[in-house]
Amino acid sequence: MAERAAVEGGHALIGRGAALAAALLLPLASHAASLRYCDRPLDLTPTQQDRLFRWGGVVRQALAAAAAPVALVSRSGLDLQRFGLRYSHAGLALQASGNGPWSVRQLYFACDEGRPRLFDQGLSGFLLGIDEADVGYLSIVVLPPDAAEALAAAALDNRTALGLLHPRYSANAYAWGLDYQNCNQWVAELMAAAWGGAAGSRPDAQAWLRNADYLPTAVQVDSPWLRLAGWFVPYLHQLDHPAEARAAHRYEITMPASLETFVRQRYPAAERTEICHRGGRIVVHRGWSPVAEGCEPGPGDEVVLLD
Amino acid sequence: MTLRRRSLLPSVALLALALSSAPGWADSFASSASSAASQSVGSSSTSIEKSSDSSSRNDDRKQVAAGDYEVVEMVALAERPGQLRLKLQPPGGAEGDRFYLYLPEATANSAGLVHGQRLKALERPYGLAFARADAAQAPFFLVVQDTWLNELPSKAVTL
Repeated sequence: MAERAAVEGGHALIGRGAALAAALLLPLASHAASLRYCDRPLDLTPTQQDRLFRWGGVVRQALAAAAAPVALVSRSGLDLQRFGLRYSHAGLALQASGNGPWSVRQLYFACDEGRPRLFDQGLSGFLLGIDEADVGYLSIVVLPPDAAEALAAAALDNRTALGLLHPRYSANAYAWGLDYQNCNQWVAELMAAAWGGAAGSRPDAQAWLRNADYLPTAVQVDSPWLRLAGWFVPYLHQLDHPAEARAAHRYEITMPASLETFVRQRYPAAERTEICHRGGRIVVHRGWSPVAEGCEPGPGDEVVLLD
Repeated sequence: MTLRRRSLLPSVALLALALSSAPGWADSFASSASSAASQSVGSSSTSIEKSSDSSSRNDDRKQVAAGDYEVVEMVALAERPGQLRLKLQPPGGAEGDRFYLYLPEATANSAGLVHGQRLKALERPYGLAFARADAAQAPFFLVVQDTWLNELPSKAVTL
């Protein structure tokens, strides 16, 4: 059974959406997203930057301690609790990256060019790119050596990595479709190339993922407002999803949670660590259970005080 | 027209909500604007220099220690428009412990720095964080190792 993430109606973010609402009043409403996400400045205080860099230091230590060639890293974004999701964006941290140790190879929508591209980004940039400065979560999944070496080799092979990049981006891309691709779907298909030999072919990659019992995240969109919004928002698409899925308002999308579940089921020896920060504290939580909401330390968690 | 706009507002707000809450959406965008350098961050190669010229700059940077310092000089330099050069020395410290800190004038003004100000240089994994001694260690300027700063931009993968 696919994981379920229910989309409840919209009432919590009305305030934060004020600027977006203004943008949507513009005639070219379809460009509102780029106004919000492509041109957003990083307006961080020195204290916030200090904490984010120190958070990066702890993450760097954890990756170095893992002594693996690659780790699946997932970053929190905006508050996705209404979807039952903590993480929204995944990439691969590569120890031997030519861009520096633990640089993250990932799919971003390149705003300047208006198309998706693969990027290498150092850990500091990956973490400072988070949407919420005062609280952040990062999940690290380290694979057993054989699986890790194969995945690192595929990720570092530019021809393989770029061969699986689709030219059209959709944030909610249907996981079993070929019309679009989101950031996490590229990671899933790269896993297929690494572990199933589906290099360069998205259809082959998806066929292998099906045979390997990969299950994307099932997002149930209960709110009629959100369903309506989906037709107007750029980079969200409906028609690539099967008609029965659209009728049921249930969309199968690759998310970090489904990637982690897949890795765990395929490689039970894989290890997961969550490293979050909030206020003047960093919490390191090891294991497959989620760190407590609000980055509250639990039994056995390591706490690093920043103040 | 006004009434029509009012009637649209709830749905507009919900559209905004949808925009800001779609899974896989918000943080998968890269823009050259998103990695802009901050006024409160400087690189170790350009922000710190020993006041003595007895050794190379790289060696000098390694010698700047965390600890308490006093602003003994504030100078605007023509060759660095918009920047100030602070000469910092440990209270009662030897002249050899002095060093220069370069930072944006706006940052210095915002922090209320004045001649004679006591500062703390706080050791960090990324470099040094500078705070006023009376500011409960809230930093106003970070000196970050070049290797860390070089990690900020996204670099497109090409064949």
